[in-house]
Amino acid sequence: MTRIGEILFVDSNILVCFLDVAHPHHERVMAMVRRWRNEDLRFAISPQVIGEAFRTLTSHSYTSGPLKAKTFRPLAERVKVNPSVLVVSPGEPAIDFALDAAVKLDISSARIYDLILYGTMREHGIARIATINVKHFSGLDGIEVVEIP
Amino acid sequence: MMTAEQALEIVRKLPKHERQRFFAQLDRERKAQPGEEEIRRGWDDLMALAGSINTGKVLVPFPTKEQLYDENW
Repeated sequence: MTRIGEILFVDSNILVCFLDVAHPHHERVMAMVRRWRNEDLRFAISPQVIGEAFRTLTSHSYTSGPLKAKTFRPLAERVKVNPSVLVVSPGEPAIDFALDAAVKLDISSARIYDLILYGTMREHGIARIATINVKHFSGLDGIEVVEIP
Repeated sequence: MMTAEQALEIVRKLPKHERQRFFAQLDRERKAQPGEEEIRRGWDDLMALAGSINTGKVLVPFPTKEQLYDENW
């Protein structure tokens, strides 16, 4: 049973699929987004999510037609100020959660960025994350991964 | 019923890490409680953003974190 306003953390890959109609998984993600809307969920993002979405959408490696920063900026603003979206930032507890999980799961290198998202969620008491990279968030204490069918 | 002072006393006894988490979550509760109507209006605006950009041919649909944080990617 979903409570109105229940919070779901959203990974950058979901944000990219949501915004970009050219993404091959746009419709797949939209089907889930419509469900979340019917449940009146709220999204949570962190500055890292916006940064990674920017990195993806403005990259020539991602697409043949990357966005310019001036195109991305107003989109990000509309997401950021939306009352259905909560922006949460990592503090010291997020670092502890991330590093403790890295030690426990013996994680190294760039996977730490997933763990900083995890730590940010734990710091703010957010228990669910929607992501395409389900396995990157599996086995982490205190959170549940929402799969996109 | 617990008073605010009693609650504060409990918070003071929390370890530093848990105290920081408590204040982070309290801050979220305090500043982020829009009503149902506001959430629904927010959703209307959010849905207007869905598919609002078209980047052409997507070459790597799901870049890894290694790619995202690689300067040469």
